[in-house]
Amino acid sequence: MNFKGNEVLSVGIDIGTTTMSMIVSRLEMKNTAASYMVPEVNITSKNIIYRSGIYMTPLISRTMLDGEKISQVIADEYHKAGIKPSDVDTGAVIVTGESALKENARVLIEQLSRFAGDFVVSTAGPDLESIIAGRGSGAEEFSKKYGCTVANLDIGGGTTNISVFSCGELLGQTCLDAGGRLVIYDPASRRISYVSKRLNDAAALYGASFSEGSIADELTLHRAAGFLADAIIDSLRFSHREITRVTTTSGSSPLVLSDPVQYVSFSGGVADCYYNDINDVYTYGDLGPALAQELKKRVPGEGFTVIRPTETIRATVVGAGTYMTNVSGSTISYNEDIFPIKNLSVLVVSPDSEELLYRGEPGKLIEELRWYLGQSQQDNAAICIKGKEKISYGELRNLAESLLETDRSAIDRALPLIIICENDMAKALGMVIRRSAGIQKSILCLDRIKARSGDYIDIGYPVMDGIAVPVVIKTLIFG
Amino acid sequence: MKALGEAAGESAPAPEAESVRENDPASGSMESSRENADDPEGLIDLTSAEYKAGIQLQDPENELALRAMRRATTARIGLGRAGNRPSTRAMLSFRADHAMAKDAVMKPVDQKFLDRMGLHTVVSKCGDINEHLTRPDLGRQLTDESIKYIEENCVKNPQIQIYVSDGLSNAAIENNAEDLLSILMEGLKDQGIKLGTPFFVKYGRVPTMDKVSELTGAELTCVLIGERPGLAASDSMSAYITYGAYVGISESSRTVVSNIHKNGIQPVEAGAYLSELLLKILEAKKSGVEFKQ
Repeated sequence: MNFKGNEVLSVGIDIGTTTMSMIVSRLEMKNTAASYMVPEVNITSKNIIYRSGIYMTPLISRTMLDGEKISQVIADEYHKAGIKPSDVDTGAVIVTGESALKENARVLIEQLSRFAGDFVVSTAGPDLESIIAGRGSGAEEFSKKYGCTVANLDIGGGTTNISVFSCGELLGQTCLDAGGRLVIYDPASRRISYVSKRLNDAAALYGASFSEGSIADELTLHRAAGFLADAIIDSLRFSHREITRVTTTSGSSPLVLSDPVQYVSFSGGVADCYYNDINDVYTYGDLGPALAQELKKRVPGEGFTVIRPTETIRATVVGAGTYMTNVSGSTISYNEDIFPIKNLSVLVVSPDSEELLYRGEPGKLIEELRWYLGQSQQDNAAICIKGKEKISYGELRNLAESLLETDRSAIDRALPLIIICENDMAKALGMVIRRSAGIQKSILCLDRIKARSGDYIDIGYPVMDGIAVPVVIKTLIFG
Repeated sequence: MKALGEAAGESAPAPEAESVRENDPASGSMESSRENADDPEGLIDLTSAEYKAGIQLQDPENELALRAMRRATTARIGLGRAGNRPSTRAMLSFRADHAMAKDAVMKPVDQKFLDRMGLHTVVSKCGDINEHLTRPDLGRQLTDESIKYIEENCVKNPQIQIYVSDGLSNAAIENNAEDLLSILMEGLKDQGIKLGTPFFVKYGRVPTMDKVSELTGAELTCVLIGERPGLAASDSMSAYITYGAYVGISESSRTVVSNIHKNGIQPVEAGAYLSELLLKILEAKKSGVEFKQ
């Protein structure tokens, strides 16, 4: 059995609208429970051991990523970092920014997979990107350390990814189509070569529009940046104006906050314009410096204080490399030949049908699972239940029998039965299922993992002498 | 006070509550608190999770942080004060928890529960609960009648002898022992282990297991025993495991798995974990500090 020790090597790759970068980090896991208690494995330290430079993202056209060149950059960076694909245990490739760019992202991920090792996942989705950036920037940690509410605004070329944390807990996340490169012009002639349709959607609310071919003067740039800054600032408020709704990225939704934002940190490319006070708006031939200035104008009077995060332009890549991997509860039950598991979709069992399982009635779940597999055209799914804080042995046996019955009815017998519970009961459940299923059947029961409907999970090789497994939960797979 | 505790939703069967009233000097206040519960103002259950999640401090400097800290610990923080003293509500909450802890110690384990589990009761040399509390030396020994029962009725020389004992919390046993014992026994049976006959030791202490081990000739002995209640949990159970136990064996020879209760590790999960742990200890032929997990 291929047990990993208590360290895993994680790679994060962020391919944005404008720039791309990579980091390598070492995640250390420890049993954090006292010796007289049941072991509990947690990730106890995250050390970034290599940071690549920031590269301009290679493009074939405005909407096509250059897979060949990107692969070459990553291959070179692996070489510089002194790692081989086979060394890599976990991590994430994230393609962020304008949705148009994601058209050929799937192809790109396939090209990258040969460098990415056995267990690097492809992942995307605007909300998840926001959360990753907020964690990577250090905003989450700040909110925990100082007991406050912090919003991190990761403003890149195409999008602004916003996440809000309160005392270390995620309060909410959103994503806006607002970024530094929604307008691109030649720094010398100042002739505009590109205007994002999404910018004009927002501008239309004010009766304005921007067109390619015209000349970008300071006033024009500030007007365009002003609309985006309005949307960004408005999105942090309790109630939102029309501009926030218009600007919100498809697949995301405006923030609903329970507490007011006290601190704001900026990350992403535009953050460097913000904190470093770039006065010449034409510096990059885009909206970046003007957007930073417009934001700065709007901050006073909003009732929050701006802080500087630990990571700015690398927030997303640091988040991807160090915060995507979770570790399951120590109490897992598995057959040893099923790792790694990739891109397994998650069926979240409805509370009603879960209640029936405790009574030994799997009918409703069988229906749900059949429908789900049919819809998603997959042959297996992780069955995700909440579990109970205190389940009786009788209920546990009913649950085990129901799940086995579900497995027999809806899933190919040769495939593993994979159960994920939120509450700590997987070892007991695995043991009871195993007793009825016999030793031939592959069974994996994990706990202390929370997944949502539509999530996909990757499960890596067991660590810590086999008592836990690394788990990556992601929201979207391309296509 | 007990009435407040029961309102928290813990399922204590009615007959037990009767017996508590006789024992518990604090139960005199019960009728008045029942009346208060009908008060239109509403009376908060001071032992409930809802009350404990709240903060009592007036105008805290950072309410957000205080709430987060309150969620992170069962310690009594953010209580506020009235002059030099704790506020009335904080004081009552403390006393309510203390009363539950006392109940957990003083009340006997429900006989119906033992009958359902099919556990025969043997008893230590302590004659009553007060002697149990004041004479741990007697709690470690079994009466002649108990010794005779075990010698005549229990499986001899099992690989693993598991039994249950009240220790210092009957609530721990009533809330956790049944589910844990069921999954543990079945798990070990599946592995073809020769198991001893489980029974219940009333007024038992942890080292009572050494005598049990000598009497049954068990290779490995495991007792599920109620822990001394605290103000955060009154129903915490532990499993103490000793390989080759004999009267006088060092305490460092015991392996323990503690915090088995609803808000710690739940009983079925502890049972599944123990079934693996007991097999490892049996294989290693040593327990306690000598045994590396």
